[in-house]
Amino acid sequence: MTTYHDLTGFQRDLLEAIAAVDDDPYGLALKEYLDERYAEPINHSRLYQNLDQLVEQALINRDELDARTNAYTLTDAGRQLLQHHAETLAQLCERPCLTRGAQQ
Amino acid sequence: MTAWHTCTALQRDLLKAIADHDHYDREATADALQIAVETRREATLDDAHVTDALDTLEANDLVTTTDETYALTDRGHDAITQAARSLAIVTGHDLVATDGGTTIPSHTAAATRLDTVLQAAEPALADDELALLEAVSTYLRNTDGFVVQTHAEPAIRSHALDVIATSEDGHGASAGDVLDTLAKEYGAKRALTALLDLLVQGDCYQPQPATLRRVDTDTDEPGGDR
Repeated sequence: MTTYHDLTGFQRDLLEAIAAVDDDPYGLALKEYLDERYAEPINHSRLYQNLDQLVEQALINRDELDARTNAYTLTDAGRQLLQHHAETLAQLCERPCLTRGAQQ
Repeated sequence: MTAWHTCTALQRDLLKAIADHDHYDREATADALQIAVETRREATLDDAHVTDALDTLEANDLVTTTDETYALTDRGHDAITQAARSLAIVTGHDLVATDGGTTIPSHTAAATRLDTVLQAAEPALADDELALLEAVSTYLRNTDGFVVQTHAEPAIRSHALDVIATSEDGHGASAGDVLDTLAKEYGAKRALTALLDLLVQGDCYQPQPATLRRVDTDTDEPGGDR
């Protein structure tokens, strides 16, 4: 079974993008989401190759929207990976906070 | 472009490992970090690969080293916090950020922090101030897991209170009837939001599981103004 740590940074970001894009997360919408966060525009073949790999790893579903467009959604396993990672990151962000007479 | 997105998966995992070591006050040497990431990945990493990744993080001002121990810079902290916030939003987590920029994963965690501060500040607080802050702590614990969305429009809330007042008997108004009445006019979702809002704000309560009552209609009764 694929774990979050087996994924490349780009694949992790793709999972987040799929969760973030409302309505039908199709390729172009995912590219737009990632383009806002990356220094360079995302190459189409890189995008679709990685989406294919995530489908093969059963982390996302690919459903045909029309003859030319596919929509991508997280599978339960993909959602679980993302959720777990979100919790881990949130815990890491709890920085010690000094208060009068007490240290947390 | 965000600093987090410029990092490779290994660099991100190293940043998280450094934050983790910092969190538990452990020494974040290169070896310790490599072991931590290898354990997570259940795979052996090439030493040079890890060293290169740490060097890149340092060159990008995300980490700093003192006596061969790594620590996050402010930029590194910000990168992780930003990534955590972004993920929390897309996964529907309820993150509460204090004005110090600290991210708190739940209402219970927020209440625990508040209790720690309260304990320290207790001698300096007046009784009413203490009671007020304790009430906030209790409220946070009781609302853990709740996500309060948009507040209902004031007009619907006011109408909902009128509907409850006109249809209640000694046991309150039937919640189903009140919801039906409001839903016909505003739609079920807006009506339900208004009722939940009244309950959360303490404008009405449930004397029985399926009934609603305004808090200002029982002032003359024993235990009134519940």
